[in-house]
Amino acid sequence: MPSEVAATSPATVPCREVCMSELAVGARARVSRIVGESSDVMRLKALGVCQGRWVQVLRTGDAWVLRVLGSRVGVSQRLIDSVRLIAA
Amino acid sequence: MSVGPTATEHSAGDAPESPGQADRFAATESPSATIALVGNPNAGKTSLFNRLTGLRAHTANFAGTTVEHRRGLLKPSTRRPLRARPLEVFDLPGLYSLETSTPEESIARNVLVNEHAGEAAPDAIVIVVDATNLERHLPLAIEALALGKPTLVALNMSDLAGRLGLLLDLEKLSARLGCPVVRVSARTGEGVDDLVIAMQSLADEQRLPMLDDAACACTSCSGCGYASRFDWAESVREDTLTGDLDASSRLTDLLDRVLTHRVAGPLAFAAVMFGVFMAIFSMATVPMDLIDALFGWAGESVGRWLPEGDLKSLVVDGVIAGVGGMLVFLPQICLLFFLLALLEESGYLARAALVMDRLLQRVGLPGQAFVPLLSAHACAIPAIMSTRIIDDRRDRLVTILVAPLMSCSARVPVYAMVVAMLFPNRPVAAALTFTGAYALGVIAALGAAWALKRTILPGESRPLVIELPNYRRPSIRNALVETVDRAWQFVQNAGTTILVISLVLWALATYPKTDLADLPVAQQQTFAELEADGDAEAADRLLAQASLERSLAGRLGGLMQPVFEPLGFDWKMTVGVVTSFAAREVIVSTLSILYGLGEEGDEASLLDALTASTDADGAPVFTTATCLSLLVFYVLAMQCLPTQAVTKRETGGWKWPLFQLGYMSVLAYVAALATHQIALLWA
Repeated sequence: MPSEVAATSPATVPCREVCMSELAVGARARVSRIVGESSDVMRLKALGVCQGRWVQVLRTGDAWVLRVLGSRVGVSQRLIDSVRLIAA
Repeated sequence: MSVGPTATEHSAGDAPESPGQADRFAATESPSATIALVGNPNAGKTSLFNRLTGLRAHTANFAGTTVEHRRGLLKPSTRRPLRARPLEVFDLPGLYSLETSTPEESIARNVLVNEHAGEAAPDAIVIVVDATNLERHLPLAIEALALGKPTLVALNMSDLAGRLGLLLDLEKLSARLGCPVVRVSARTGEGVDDLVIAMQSLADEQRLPMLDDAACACTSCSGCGYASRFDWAESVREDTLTGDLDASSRLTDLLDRVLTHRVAGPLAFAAVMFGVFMAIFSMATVPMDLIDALFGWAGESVGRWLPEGDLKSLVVDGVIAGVGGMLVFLPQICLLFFLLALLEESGYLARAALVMDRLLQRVGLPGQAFVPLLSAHACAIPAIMSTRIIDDRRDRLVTILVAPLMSCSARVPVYAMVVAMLFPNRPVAAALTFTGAYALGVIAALGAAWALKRTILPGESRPLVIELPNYRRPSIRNALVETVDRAWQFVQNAGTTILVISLVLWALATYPKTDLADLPVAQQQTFAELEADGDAEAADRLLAQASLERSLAGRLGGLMQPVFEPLGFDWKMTVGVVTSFAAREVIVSTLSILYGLGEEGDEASLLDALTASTDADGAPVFTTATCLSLLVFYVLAMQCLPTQAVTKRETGGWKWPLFQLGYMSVLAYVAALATHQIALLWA
């Protein structure tokens, strides 16, 4: 579900926001926002998958593995589309 | 640099405070102040705690919870005079942020901010930070610094940072954090003495952190707290660290290509677990035999000292045999915890949870449940204790409730006896039946988890969100500390709950006493003939058989016989079910006694006696249908009170152990009944 939004990134032009599930292994993107308020979403943020951080996809499927902040985070498929990004 | 919110009363250069404060630390040997170790789960906090306290620490629960932590006295510095009153250090559960998302994190946070009833907040804080990954660890540091307590940062894994060519500007880092920073390596012990001295100074001087403008702006940010803290951490890292930041991840990336691969990952996990169980079953045999022999020798020795009578029977058959019967599993428990501790510290267990998550999600459990469930094949007790790795309380409870369905090693003697009766001299059929018994346990556990998650503990399992830390060489020392801790918990359990259970069962199997004169005339004659032939052993066995039959346990078995008759059990098997209520393997020795072979009857004689036994009509007792029914009953029945005691300990009450006993007993009965009836039809 890509959409054109004014992203909160250093760029001043509108960027294309994508769901995490649209990214392939090896893709790298900056997180624009995290959707939801559940404690699992909060945990994602606490582990570094939060607004402004760069993430790289290392593995897709169930579960995903993302590289963020110099280490890897395993994320269940169920949560993956809580992460919206601005593709690099 | 501005002054932080609570730094107005002291400056960074404050000298030790008033004489009164110094007096606080004198005069008695009780701790003068407590210092909490705070850090992310993979910061190496526990290793550092072990270095700081040596082996003088103990495990305790936070007041009113089953959440554990370790606390101990800070060891003295080699370069400072011994303190009159030592400092106490405690290791808080790891957390990523003070905005918590798990119960353990909430408790850690509440203790830190003095909101946990019954626990005093620490007087000072040591934040443990991984020097190779500042950006991940500093966001928690800024939150802890903002609490306004005397704080210092321990820069752990500094040796690794050096080897990776990462250059840290310690002075600049200390200035940005507004508190002392000490390089340390929990793995090698390098810098530990410096840290001890810094902690002593921190407690004595009560120096408060002084946050700079950027940090103050970050902690007062009204937007996304996480984002602002990570932004701040990134700026601190850029200011203070240079070098190849990806260097620490290269080996991990390489290994993860295999270990988290969709196909190779589960295969590697299977291989690792096979290795663990091979080690447990091969290496534990010798110490288990030794413990068994030791308790046998103790029983014999004490028995020689005590006069014949109830006291001797109580001590030898109740206390020594009961506790010995449990402690014999100690080597397996120690090995399991030792190997799991090594795997956890190496970083592999997080990968195991990742690769098994998909499978277990189907029955509503998280990937972290896999290791406890697998461990239950050795013994349900350590398996239940190891469910602490599961974050969500409901998922953890379901795992505890179903873990005893996995076939533990105590079931093996029962399986061996039944399978040998079913398929004598047919090794392939025997092996398949044995495997089938294990498979039944696995299927029942997964099915029960699925049912529990859809009935009394509803809800999907929590989605996996797990950090996969860099692989590192595990510390044998830490694994040993963890193992000793768990082993001690088990021994304490054996010395309390299990001892009481053993005594109750001994009383049930001993009273009322049976004299020779109480026996029917025919049995008295047989007894007299055996004695006349000089076969005193056989005479004793006869009396023991009659005594058990007439004891409370025997009579209870007789009373319950109508209940178990539909399963094909005769009264002797029913007595076996009653006496093995606390420990399932006891059925073998009970049947041995009831068939006149004595408690130590050899396996071949017992099998012959069981196979040859007939009912009043002359029909064999142990038919194929009865053997299968007995097997299914023992695969699924609880029949282990020590496990129940551990469930009570881990769930904080008797409600869940009683539920566990109830559902497993009903499941075992219904499944055994169905098996018997179907087998009869088949026959």
